[in-house]
Amino acid sequence: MHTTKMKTNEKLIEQVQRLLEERSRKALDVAKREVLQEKMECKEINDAFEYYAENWNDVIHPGLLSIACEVAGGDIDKSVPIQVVMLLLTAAVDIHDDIIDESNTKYGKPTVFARFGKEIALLVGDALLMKALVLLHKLEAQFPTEKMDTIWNIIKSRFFEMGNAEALETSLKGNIDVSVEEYTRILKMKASTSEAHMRIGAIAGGGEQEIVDLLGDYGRTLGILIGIREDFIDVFEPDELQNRIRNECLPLPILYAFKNPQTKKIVLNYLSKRKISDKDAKKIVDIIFEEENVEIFRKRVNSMAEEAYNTLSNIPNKNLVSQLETLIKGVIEDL
Amino acid sequence: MNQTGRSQEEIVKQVRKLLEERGRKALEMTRKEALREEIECKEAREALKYFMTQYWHGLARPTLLSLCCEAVGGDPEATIPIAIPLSLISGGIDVHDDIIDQSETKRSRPTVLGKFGKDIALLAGDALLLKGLMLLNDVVEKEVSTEGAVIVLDIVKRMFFELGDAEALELRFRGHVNVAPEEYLNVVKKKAADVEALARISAILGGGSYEEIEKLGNYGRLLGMILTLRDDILDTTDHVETLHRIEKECLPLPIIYALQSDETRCELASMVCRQPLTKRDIEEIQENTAKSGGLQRTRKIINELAEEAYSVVRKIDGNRNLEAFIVASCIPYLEGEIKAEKAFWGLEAKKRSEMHAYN
Repeated sequence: MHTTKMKTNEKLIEQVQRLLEERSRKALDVAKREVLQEKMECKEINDAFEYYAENWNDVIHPGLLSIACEVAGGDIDKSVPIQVVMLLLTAAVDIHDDIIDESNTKYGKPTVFARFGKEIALLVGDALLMKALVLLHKLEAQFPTEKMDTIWNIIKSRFFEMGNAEALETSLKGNIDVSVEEYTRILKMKASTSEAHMRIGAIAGGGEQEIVDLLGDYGRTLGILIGIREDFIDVFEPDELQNRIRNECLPLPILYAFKNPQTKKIVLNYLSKRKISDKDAKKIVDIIFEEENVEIFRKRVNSMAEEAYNTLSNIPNKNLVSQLETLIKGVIEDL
Repeated sequence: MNQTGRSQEEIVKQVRKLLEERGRKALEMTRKEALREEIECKEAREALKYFMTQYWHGLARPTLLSLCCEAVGGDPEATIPIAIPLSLISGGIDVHDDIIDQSETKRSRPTVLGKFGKDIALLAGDALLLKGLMLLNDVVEKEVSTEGAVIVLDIVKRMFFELGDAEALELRFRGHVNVAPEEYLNVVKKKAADVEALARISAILGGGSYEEIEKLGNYGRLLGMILTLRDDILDTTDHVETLHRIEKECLPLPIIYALQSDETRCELASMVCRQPLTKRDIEEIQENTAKSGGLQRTRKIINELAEEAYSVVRKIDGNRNLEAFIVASCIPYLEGEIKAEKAFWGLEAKKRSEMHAYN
């Protein structure tokens, strides 16, 4: 998770981090090895692979898949190969996303796009996509045909949904009049990958359709909440905020605050500056979080979390329920 | 020289007929498949539609698949299902290549990048790749044996990585006037990986022996190189394309060769580095390239590759149409006259783009 200027409950964040790390370690190691074993003649591509592998710390996606597998009654070690495929796919989307958003840093480190340029980033993303789908084909032997078909279909539909969300977001770039509803819909669509991980984990674990759907719904909600959390964080980060104005949509809390025309006018004065200083960012934060509409939004976020907790009540393994609840708590705790 | 006793016009006619007969059905099915996905974003939807219905006229890929399969005694119709995902993958690579090369137009037509911008082009390319790779899995599962499926996917993967490597290596040449022809030809060879992959895959589908698969793979690699070098000659003789190659990509082989000449190197290098380049500058660069033998040397390479390709396909029984493909790819340059291009590639804008193999 990000280090933010928000008041964070360090203990809870650490707990979530540990939980996800334990469940992701193996898959991340294998995925890194897979990437590093591809040797190209072009040094820049090899360097970019190495750089990405060195800094690759996506514990969320493989972590989610692992929990879903266990909830469905599966052996988590057997889910490692599919975790690897999903890690590669998500990385490909992530790298391409950074090109679209022109994101220079992520989690405090330069992105592949920033370090190696648009062209190499595009090729690295393509290579990871290809690698992921070839590896997925190799899993045909691990799962029965019907299950495998379902997994392919989930990947196709959810990753197309993600692409659709990206395309819709692109068409709204720089538009300060985006409605809360429009942007919320995009966030929901973007949560399709979290849903995909939960569904695939549940299928890999041998879960019945009911549990697959339940975990899929949980994944979608969690994905939306993660998107919202990232939006909250961006309000606190002047550089990110600047990038959001130029290359993405404004974060959701700001869009909620813009429901009040007066607040919108004041905040836009700050946002239209060539460089948003730390002082400006602080002012923006103060104004946004005093806004009544943002308070209403916060309450909605909590209701979403409550709904997600409720869906988990049918899961018999209370230890796993507690882990799933912890993930949600970790995401919304300091919003 | 080959296809003895037949005129160029006859061979051109034969290849045009082949492209229609063997490639059209797969092309239409590819278009249908690509446009089947529901895409909510209007721009992305229009970009895919534009690419598939107006820009992309890829008859050559499915035709080559069909011919290579037939050459080893297989049923050419059996290649149609795999032609669809392979064409989609090639389309995705093509759209992404235009982002890398900053090609907003190609042969006077706007690319997806030129018409819809970088972001939509990137996403459209991703959609084609994802769709193509998913469909490829379905097809190999249904149409190919278990071992064959692994081999086909491995060929596609190697092809993909080799093309990526070629693109990345080419980036290093951008803005450089001192590129060694051997280095550039290494990239050209890598770029031919996709044509080799098509030839190999169709030979496997046709039940070809190990030797036949190797021969056809070799043929595909040579044909792919010829096509890239043919584009290099076109790029050196077309004002807009020459300018684009100098400003945004790496220099085409004729200019690289011309820069090797002691007589023209200094003058040509200073012209190429001029900013901004005027129409007159481009004309001078083109004249100097021709004068120093850059075009001639490139044609010679094409000629040598064609001879090698002939010698490879002659060892295959069903080779007649494969030979015609080589002739059709080389005609303008073996004859030494760009104007002769009209004999095959330049009949009219649309026809030309259709015949413009692997675009």
